[in-house]
Amino acid sequence: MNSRDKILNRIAEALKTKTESASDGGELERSISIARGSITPAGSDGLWNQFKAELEKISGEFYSVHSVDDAAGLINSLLNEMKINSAAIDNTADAAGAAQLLGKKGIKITAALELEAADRKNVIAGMNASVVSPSFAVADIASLVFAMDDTGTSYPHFLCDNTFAIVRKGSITADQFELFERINPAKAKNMFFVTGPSRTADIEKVLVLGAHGPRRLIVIAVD
Amino acid sequence: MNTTPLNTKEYIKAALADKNLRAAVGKATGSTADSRNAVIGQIPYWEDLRSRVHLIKKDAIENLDKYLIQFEENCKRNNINVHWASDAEEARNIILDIAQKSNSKKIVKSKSLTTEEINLNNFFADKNIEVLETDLGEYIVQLNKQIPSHLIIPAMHLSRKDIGKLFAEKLGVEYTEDPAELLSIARRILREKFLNADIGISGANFAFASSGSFCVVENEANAHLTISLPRIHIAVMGIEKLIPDKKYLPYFLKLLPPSATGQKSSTYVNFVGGVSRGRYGEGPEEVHIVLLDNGRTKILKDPKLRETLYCIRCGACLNACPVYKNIGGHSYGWVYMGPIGAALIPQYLGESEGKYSPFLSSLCGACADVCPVKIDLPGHLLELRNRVVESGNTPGYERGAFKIYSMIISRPRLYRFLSRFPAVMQKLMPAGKPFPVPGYKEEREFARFDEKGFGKRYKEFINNK
Repeated sequence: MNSRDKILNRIAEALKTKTESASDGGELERSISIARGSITPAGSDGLWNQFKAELEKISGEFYSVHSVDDAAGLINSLLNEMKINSAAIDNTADAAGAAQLLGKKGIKITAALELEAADRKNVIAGMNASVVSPSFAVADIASLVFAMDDTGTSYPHFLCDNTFAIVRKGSITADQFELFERINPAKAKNMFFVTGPSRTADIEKVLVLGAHGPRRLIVIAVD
Repeated sequence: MNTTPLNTKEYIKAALADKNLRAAVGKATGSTADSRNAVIGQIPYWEDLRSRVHLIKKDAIENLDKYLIQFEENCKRNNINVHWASDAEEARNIILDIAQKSNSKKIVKSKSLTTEEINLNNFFADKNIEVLETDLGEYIVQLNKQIPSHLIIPAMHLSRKDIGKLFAEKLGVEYTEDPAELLSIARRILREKFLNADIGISGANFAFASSGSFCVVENEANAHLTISLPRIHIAVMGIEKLIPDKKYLPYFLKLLPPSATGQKSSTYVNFVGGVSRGRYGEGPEEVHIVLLDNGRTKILKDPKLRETLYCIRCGACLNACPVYKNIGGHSYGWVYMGPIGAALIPQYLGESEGKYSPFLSSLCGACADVCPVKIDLPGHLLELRNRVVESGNTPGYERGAFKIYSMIISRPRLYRFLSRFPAVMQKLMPAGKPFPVPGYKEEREFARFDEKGFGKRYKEFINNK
C-alpha cells in the first residue's frame, strides 16, 4: 500500500469517531454580512476615500486623476523627482497607455513581456521603477488584486523598488468578500494581492519598508 | 543546527535568568498584542468571524479524506504534482528526489513551519545542495544555526546588536545595528540568490479542495519571489491546511493578519493554481505539493484533541501567554511553541518526549481568548496533563506530593487548620523577601500568602453580594 492510501485509510479510520456536529444554519454568515454592510462606506467615492485612508496608514501613497494621460504626467514628474529615467511595465492596457506618454517625455520604457523569458527577471531586477495595473482594488484594507491572466507578469511589481499602480475607479470592491463574488474564478488561479510596500519587522519589531519587494507603492486611481 | 533539547528544565531556568531575553520577548509580544487589539476593535463582527471559521475548519477536518481526494484531483487538472508523505523522512526524500532528478543545486525557501517540522535544512546540509531561508527572521536564525523562537517572528530572541555581530561575523560586512541597514545587506545577498535559484520551497497557509490551488500569505515579498523566480516550486503542507473552497478565504484573511502581526491585512497573498511558465513566461514550470501526515492522523483519531488541527499558525496564543513571555520559544524545544506548541508537542512526538509540554501553561485562558479559530487550548492542555499523570510520566516525588495534597484538600477541617501555617510562617521572612520555595528565585517570585485565606475571603464575598 502506498503512502497516499495509507494516509487516506488512517483518516477514514480516525473519522469513524465523529465529534458533535455543529451547524448554525447560515446565521453567522448572515450576521457577518449585515455587520459588513454597516461599516461599508456608501458609493464609489466613499470606498475610494476609505482606500486612501487605509493605504496611507500602511505607508502607501495615493493620487486620484481623471485620465491615464494625467496618470502618466504624474508618474513622469515623480520619476523626475526620484531621478529615475526608465520604467518597466506589465501587459495591461493602462500601463501601456501611460508608457506611450512617458516614452514621449524621455522615460525609457521596457515592456516585460517583450523581453526574452530567459532574460526577463535579470533585466527587470536591474530597473528602479515599474508601472502596473491591478484588476481590482479592495477598499477596507487598501489592497490591489493582480490576476496573472490580466497582467501577464509579476516581475515589474516585485523586482523594482518603486511601483506605480494605475487602477480604474470602477474596479473598487468594498472588501474581499465582495471581491470573491466579482472575480472570475478562472482568473483567480494565479494571482496576488498587494497591500502597501513590502515590509518587515523581524528585527526588534522595528518596521522597515522594502524587504524584498518594492519600497514605495504609489497608487493612482483613474476615472 | 542548535535545536534545543525538549523541555529541559535547565534550558527554562537559563531562559528565566536571562533578563535580555525576557525583555526582548516581552517587548515584541506586547507590541504585537497591542496592535492586534487595535485592529480587531475596527472589526465589529470579529467574534462571529471566529465562530464561522471554527465551523469551516471543523467541516474541513471532519471530512478531510473527501476534501483531500477532491484537492488531489483538481491539482492534477492544474498540472500540480501531488505527493503524499506519511512522515518527515518520506517528505524529505520526496524533495531530495525532485532536486536530484532536476539536477538542482540551489534552493530558496520562504518561511514554512512545516519544513522546520521535517528538519529540511539540516537534511540538505550534506547533500551538496544549498538551501537558503529568505524571510529576514528565518535567514537570521539560519545564520545563527538556531530554530525560530516564535511562529511569526523567528528571531524575536535576538537583539539588533546580536544580529549586527552575527552579520559581521558570518557575512563579513561592517558591523551595524541599524535594522534598515541590516535588512539592506540581507536583501542584496538574497536578491542574487533568488535570481539564480533552481527550486523555490514554501509552505501553504491555505489550500482549496474545490480548485486544486493554494496560497501563501506574507509581508516581505520573499514568498512571491520564491514562487515566481525558480523554475520548480515545491510547497510542503500539513494535510490539515485544506479548506473546502476559496470562497471561505476572506473569513480567514480577516482573522489571520491581526492575530499574527497586528496588521489589518498582510502585504501579500500569493495564489498558486498550477504551472505558469508556459503560459506567462515566468513562474514555475513544475509545481509540486507534498501533503504531510507526520502524526496528524494520530491527532485526528482522538476526538478530544482533534480540534488542535484547526490551528492556522498565527502565533496569537504565544503573544498572550504569560509563560511564553517569560521563557521564550526555545524553551519548548521544538518548532511549535507557546500554548499551541505545548498541546502539539506530546501529540506529535509522543507523551514521553513531550511530558513537560502541557505543564508550560498557567491555564489562565488568555490563549483561548485570542485564538482566531477558537481552539480550547486550556481544555486540551488539561486533558494532556491528565494523560501524562495517568500514564505515570511524572516524577515520584510529585505523585507523592499530590497524594498528600489530595488527602488534605478532601478533609475541609484539616485543610483549614493547615492552611493557616504558610501565612504565619511567612511573617518570619524579612519584609519584601520572596518565600523560600524550591524553584522560585528572584526571576520567579513566589506570591505572598494571604492572611485571611481563600475560605474566609469567599465567605466575605458571598455575604457582601
